[in-house]
Amino acid sequence: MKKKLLRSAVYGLFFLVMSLLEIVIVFHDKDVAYRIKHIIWAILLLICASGYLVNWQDIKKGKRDICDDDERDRYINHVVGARVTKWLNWLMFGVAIIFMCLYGTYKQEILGIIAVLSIFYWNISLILEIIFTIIEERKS
Amino acid sequence: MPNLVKKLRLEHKLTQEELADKVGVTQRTIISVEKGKYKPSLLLAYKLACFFGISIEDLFCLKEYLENQ
Repeated sequence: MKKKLLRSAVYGLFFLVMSLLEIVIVFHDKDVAYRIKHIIWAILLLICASGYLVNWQDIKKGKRDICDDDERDRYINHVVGARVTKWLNWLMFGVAIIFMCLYGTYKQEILGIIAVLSIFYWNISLILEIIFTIIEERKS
Repeated sequence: MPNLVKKLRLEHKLTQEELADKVGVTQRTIISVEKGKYKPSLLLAYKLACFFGISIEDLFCLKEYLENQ
């Protein structure tokens, strides 16, 4: 509960500060096209900030206690997260193999870059998995 | 996981929502537990067993479950 409260407050403040920065940029930028871009960004960031701040208020008032902390929902989130990570790992592995073969055939730089980035993502996720497994093993 | 939650809830004349409120979960969790689709945490199993005044083994038909396993 406290974690959620703190997270909502931090995210809310972060997006608020970012939107204020965008507003400041709007007043300093002379190019109209850039101004419009910054106005759109400011609005989007303000929407995010207000969402998190409303959430923060709701948690503070106790409106979101049981529904958001339900153990079945947490379990589903956990299972979905694990499944998505597993699928993404295999997908990245597959993409890397395919693009490596394509690079071997067509010798185009972009294909090689995609292959390398896919392998990089795949390796990073494996390393993170090992690190988190060690941490969790030690914790329990 | 087979269990007696639905039977005991009906004996106590409670709705799923009322039982959910009493043990601090959502109605969806109670529905899943009753259907046997979701294995509850030890804490929830304990809360349910305490509420109905029986042991966890009896509430979740442990013998039957282990035999089927």
